[in-house]
Amino acid sequence: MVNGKSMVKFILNNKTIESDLPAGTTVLDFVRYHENLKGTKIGCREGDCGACTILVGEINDDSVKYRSMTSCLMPLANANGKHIVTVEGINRPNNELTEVQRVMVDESGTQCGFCTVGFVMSLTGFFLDETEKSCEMAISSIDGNICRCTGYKSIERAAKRVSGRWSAVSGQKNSENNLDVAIKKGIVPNYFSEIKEKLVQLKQETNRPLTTDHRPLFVGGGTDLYVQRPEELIYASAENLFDDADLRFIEETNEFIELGASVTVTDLLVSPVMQKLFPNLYKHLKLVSSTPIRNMATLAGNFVNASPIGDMTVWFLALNASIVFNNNREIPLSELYLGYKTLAKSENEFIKMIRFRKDVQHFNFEKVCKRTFLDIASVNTAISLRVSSPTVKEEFPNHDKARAHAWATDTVIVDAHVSAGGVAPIPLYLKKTSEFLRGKEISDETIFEANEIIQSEISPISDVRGSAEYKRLLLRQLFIGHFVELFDFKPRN
Amino acid sequence: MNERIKNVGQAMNRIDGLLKVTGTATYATDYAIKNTAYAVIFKSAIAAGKIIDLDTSEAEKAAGVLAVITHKNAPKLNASGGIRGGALLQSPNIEFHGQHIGLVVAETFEQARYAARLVKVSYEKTDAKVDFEKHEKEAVTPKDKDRAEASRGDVETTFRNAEYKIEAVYDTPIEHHQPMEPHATIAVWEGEKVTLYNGSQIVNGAQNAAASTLNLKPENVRIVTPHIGGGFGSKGGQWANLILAAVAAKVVNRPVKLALTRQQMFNSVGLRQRNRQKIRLAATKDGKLTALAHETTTHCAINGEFVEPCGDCSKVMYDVPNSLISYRVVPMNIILPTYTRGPGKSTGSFALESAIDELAYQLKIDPIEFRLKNEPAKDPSNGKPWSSRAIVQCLKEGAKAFGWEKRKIEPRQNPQGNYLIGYGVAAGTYPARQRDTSATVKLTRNGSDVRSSIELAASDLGTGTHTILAQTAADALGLPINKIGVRIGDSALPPAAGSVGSVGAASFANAVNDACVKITDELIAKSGKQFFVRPTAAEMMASENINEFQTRVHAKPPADADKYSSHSFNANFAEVWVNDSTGMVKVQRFVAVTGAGKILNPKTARSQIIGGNVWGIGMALTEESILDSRWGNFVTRSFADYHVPSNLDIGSIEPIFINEEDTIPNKLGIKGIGEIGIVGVAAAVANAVFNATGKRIRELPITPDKLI
Repeated sequence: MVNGKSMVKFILNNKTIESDLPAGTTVLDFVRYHENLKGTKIGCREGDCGACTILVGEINDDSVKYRSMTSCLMPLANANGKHIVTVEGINRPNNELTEVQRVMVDESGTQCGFCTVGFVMSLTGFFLDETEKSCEMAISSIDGNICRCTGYKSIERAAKRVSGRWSAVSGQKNSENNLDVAIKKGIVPNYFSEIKEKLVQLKQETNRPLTTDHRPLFVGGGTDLYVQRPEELIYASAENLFDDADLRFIEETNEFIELGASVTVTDLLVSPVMQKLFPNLYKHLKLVSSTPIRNMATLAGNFVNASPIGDMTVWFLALNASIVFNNNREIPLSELYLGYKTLAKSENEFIKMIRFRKDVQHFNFEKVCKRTFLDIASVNTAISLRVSSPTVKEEFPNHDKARAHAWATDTVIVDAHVSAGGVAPIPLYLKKTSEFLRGKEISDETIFEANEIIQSEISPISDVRGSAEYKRLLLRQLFIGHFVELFDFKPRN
Repeated sequence: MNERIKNVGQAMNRIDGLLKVTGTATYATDYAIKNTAYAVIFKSAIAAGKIIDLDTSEAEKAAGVLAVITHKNAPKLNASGGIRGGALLQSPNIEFHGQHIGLVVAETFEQARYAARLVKVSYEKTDAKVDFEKHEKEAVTPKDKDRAEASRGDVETTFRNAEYKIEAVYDTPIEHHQPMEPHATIAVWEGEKVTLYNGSQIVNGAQNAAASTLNLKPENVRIVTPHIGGGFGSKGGQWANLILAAVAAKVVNRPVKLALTRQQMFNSVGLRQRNRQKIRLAATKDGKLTALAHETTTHCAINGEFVEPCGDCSKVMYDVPNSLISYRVVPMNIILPTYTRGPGKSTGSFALESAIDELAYQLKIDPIEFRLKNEPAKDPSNGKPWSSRAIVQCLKEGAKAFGWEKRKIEPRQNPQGNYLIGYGVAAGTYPARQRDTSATVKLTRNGSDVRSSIELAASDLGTGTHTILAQTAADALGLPINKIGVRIGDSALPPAAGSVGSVGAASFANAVNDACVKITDELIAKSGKQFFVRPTAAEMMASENINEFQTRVHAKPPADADKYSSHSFNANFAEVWVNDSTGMVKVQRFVAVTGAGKILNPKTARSQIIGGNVWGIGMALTEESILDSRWGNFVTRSFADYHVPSNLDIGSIEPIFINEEDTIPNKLGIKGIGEIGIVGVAAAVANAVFNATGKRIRELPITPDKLI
């Protein structure tokens, strides 16, 4: 960093790049206009369509981990020290195709072709990451890509075929050496095997996260900021927090789970600690945005964006999480929100850590939107309940609904936290409802009365995502849905 | 001759697949042209009134800015030169929110975008007409004669006296094409000639409109568009952005690239208009239709009329003695609507086919049987015989493939846990036409290696034009498909029809076939020999030792085509699952049976139909643009808010083609499949939702709030 100008150094496909362009320039514009790599397309510049999907590799636990990301929302600063892969970086010589490209042609997975490269990159990324290599997960990996021509079915067939071939050889389970298998199977070229060494070397040169100035604009994954104010961000002096290793950890202490602020939604998904605590983690988080955005979006970013309907915010509100700022001030997450997009946070503060008590017993998340996937919720809600019997967790796991039901009817709620989004100017911790539930039996009366209290706590407005009345009705249904889901508890109307 | 046919009709991979999966297919903005400057458009923040003052001084001073062009300094253009939607910076008047009011040209895209924000505009606002509900009553008969009233018999009396009848209003919202490639242009001038790299469904149409608007001769405008990132009608007629790119390039005397942003796409390139359709249907007790009235009210622009032909399906679908088709339109401060996939037929069939389902239910007749009872022997709108009509086959084969017999006529009879399951059917139609198209075929020989180049100003917006033309030429010339080069998407090539209204395949392929037949004839004539078995052009090149040969044709539809009524038909079957607590609908299974003449390539054709079906499912369940009636702007202006379907939203889709040979509309028997895939889909879904829930939703899209 010299005089506010910084050098960004990373590997782009097969070559090392150094650039002194403004660190806020998006990777999309960099590859298209400065490197003339035109395979990456500009579809929306908002992370919604996936036409600009690239792969980003970084060293993690002694191996290179690749994730798909939308290059339109990624500042050059976040490429620093990483391997950036565009389609040109996987193309083979002499008109040969990679395995993914070949099935996309064979299955007619391309029509106008404008979205195609994005799908190719997402599917290629799927074979490099640690997801289970099943057909279902292959199809999920393209959840962030929009196609307007094919109706998706041919692309789904392509995804199934290539994942089927993979598991025929390697078994469905993720293997330790996905990258080696992918190279062997012609999914990525041979030079990928040399990237690790290059990245190690690069890391020594670029081990500090990029800081361009001391003005307090903090950028995490960029997935909201680059949608909201792209013009400013290119030249802005920003503190990029995404790669701060001190901000990317998931740790278990005696009492708490502690998460670094730059932990992404995908980091949560693949974390053994989180998976153990939340058996339905995948089911819940697949409703959150799309694969590339989950790969980029940070928890703290979601919290400070303060969308009244932020999925992760609502999730953590029900865990009664607290947040710790860089100056070590700690407040409950529910106290961060003062009003619409107004935060109890000073200009120089940024979130360093999130923590919640690890004695989570029964947790559920529900979301309704106009389009099932890849959409902003109309209403979302989460609940965390602890109930009387101390041995209950072992005895009645979440999935054993019949037994849980029999038991639930004479069981008392010891602790409860309920949250909801889309029903107030802020993501809402339902304080009165939570208090009311404590000490109550799980019964029709309890659920009915709690719903009355919920209705008094919320103040939805009519907008494009639904009328106020509809949102009230939805939250009521979803609140009942929590008990159906957790205890198979069907109220008698 | 027959044993040589081996490409047409085969499920072949598209020949441009390799370019597309490797990212090497070039779209408008992908050309690396030296010294290119970047233009960014800025838009009106009011819907009606005029610009009082426009201060561009700060923008002009901003880093990298080369020019700021507004109505104050824009060159004089011919505003009636064929560019749709106005917004050519010719006056301070504002006719819709988001009308282009200027552009900044700068060294880089970022600089232009930044400077565009520095322009200060003050307006004099007048009352804007943006609320359709409020202005619907002011609607008048369209000027377009095709949209004038068409009627036969006496609908009013028949309807009044009928015992079994329904009268209902069906509403469809504004929708946007939103192809994945936003509209973009690179303009390069050389003296008085300009080359425009620009996605164009109608290559020569774009050329003529640009030439006329820029006051140039057509031969001085060249359109280059080998690959188009989707269009769906929005790149059929051309919009102001094409012209403004050329204007900017002229002003700064450099090549200029102008790409619309995704947000700008919502009010720059037309839309599917909001339609309010009133249907009246009457029938006898045993299910014979006696009256059908289909009355559409819609809006158009202040500066131009466009009316979606919603009544088209109602003209030809059923045998009904008393019929009335009418249109009313009100000019409003909204951008000019335009052709959108399945124009009129997709939205019109939602109304008609929902109403048919409603009346069938009232009569307690199976909706398929009801349709079969009302099959017309000839085209009821003009009395012409059908060249072919596969609708009965479509319905019957579809019913078998779908398992229609399991459907219960009463709704809510099929709950599964928290879901209500329903089945629905709807039929559809789209006209089949061939249009005039020229084509050149070139043959070259190097030893035993004979190759051909097919050249015409056709376009491929993802439909597979490159591939079907290579297949057609390979068979007609007797060459393997990999010896055929297809050059399209360039106005310097022989003029051709457009990829619009499902005329592309029929027009292009017949022209190519004619050219190949002609070149064979000419080679045979040139040899002076006589043959018992007609040789191929490839064989003639070899036997006569000819190294280069070419010919050109101008192909027209057959002389007798007009004496018949030619249409594609389909039948759509939907199975929906409705979540009883949240009202969310999922189309779990969809079967579309299509009779569309000769299917040139089942692989690309299947994709086309599935794509159309998914458009229809989007129309049924998610797509809706919401206009803020206070300002006239679209609230839904991103993919996050304007919901095109995503891949996990839809279950299985099975397209089935009826084997249909019909060489009346054109020699090769091609009817086209780009449009038919969306027709009847929304109605099938809505009918299935009724069967599942007992709720008849007459206002699209069927969002959860309408069901709980």
